[in-house]
Amino acid sequence: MNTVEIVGLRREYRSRRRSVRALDGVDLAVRTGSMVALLGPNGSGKSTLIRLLVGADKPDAGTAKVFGIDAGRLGRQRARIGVVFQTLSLDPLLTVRENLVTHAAILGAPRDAVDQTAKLVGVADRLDDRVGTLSGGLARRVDLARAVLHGPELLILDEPTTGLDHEARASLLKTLDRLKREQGVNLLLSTHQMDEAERADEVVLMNEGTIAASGPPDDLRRRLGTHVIRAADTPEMRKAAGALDIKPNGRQIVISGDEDRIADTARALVAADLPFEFGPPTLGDVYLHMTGRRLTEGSEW
Amino acid sequence: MVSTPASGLAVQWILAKREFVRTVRQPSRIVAAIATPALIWIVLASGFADSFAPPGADGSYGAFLVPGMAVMVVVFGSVFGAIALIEDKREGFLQGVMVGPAPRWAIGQGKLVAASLITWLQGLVVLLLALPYSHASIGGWWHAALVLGAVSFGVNGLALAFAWRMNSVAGFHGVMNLVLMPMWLLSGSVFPRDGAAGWMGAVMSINPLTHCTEAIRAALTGTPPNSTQWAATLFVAAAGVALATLSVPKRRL
Repeated sequence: MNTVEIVGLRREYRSRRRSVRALDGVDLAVRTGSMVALLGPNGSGKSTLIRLLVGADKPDAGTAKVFGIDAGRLGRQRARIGVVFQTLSLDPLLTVRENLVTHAAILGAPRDAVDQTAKLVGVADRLDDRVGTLSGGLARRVDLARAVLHGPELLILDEPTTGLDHEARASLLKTLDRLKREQGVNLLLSTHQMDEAERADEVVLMNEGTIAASGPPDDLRRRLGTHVIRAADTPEMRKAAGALDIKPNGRQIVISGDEDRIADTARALVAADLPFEFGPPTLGDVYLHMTGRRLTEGSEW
Repeated sequence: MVSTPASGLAVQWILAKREFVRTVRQPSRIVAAIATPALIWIVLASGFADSFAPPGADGSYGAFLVPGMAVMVVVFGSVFGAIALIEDKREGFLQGVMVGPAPRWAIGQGKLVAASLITWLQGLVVLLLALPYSHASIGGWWHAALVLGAVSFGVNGLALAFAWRMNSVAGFHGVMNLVLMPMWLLSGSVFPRDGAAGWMGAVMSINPLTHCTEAIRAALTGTPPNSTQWAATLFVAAAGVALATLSVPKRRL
């Protein structure tokens, strides 16, 4: 059984000067009880997909259903969903408690939900502080509390760790794990961070409004074999790769293929004194291999 | 556990309560909404004291200005309410509410009820302070207060309708200058409709705010508002509710 079912979803944004196809025929299913990660760089269509799912936008074609109901017609069934956006959905002038009480009242959450949820996300000792005075990491945790106050069956998160430091990010991800494990919440997360996607049962690689590949993280990585070579995309490197499977994008190159031949190539590169990295494939390697694009601009890989 | 979302009326109350808390925590907002019209009243009433004797209002220009100043407090206050909505959209609070189960009409009306009650209370302060300048009975004062409440709903509904469509506070000042201020200036707040040039008198006659201002003036001078004024009052309040309800975007962000 699927919590989310998306078939042939298309969305194009038009202006006088140009039109941008944000989604181009996306099919996707989120199995009940699972965590699905939408992985892709900025502009790959992740946020548009989420906007359509939460009813914030309408598709040009295709259908998006949540709990078997059209996403634009969920009505009071929206109480079964929690949404965390890239930006906070909190009032900085109100205290943490006032924010949570306001949302709890709208969502019809039980009276003790505020204290329980604050404890769950680790902000119980900051309930009387104004949100505007909290650090980014703490405010993000409060925002997560807001989204799960009412015990949603499906939690949708659009790049929830954007702007957080390492510690705050780890803490937030740990809380998501707990929500899935202890409360059985279905999670749909968009991200461009590989380690966040690694936690998912299924990863959906998104590129320019389409799904480049999807599957469990291990299955996706296995597509590149046991080890890959990563190096700068130079003529010497292309020559060294020979007939092996390469995916250059002008800056980086990921070489994959038969394990023995990869090992031979690595030895040849060492002999030729060419710099490279050798190791098991990452989701970033898979993404580069499938799309020719890197997950995050400015990152090494 | 599946929660049962709050009813539309409960959502209105919850959003209104939040708006009250926000307002109290921004005292400058209250001071600015009342002090600016008070300053304008002092300047105009003193400046024209001996050169302008309007009909009614006991012949005092200061007394003549009182209804217009109360309406001005509402107009100024509605700008703050509209800016608060734009901030809610920009800062993200509303996105969390809009994707929830609350009906759109309840969200729109919640913002309206809050903004209207706040500006109404601010306007009532003016009516209370102006008691020495009026000949109003208790009933007359309440009539004036009632009309001012309707004006609050009407003006705030209009301001919120614009605010739902705007993402910039700076842009909203254009609305203030091009729509709300002219509406107030041509409402008989500063000068009477009878003495205005023909075309201006005609414009003032079709401005529903004019009839409301005149209704407040009548009530404060001991004359009950007439049926046209009550009809305009009802129209203004109903239009405000309709605007605030229908202007909430269908797409939930």
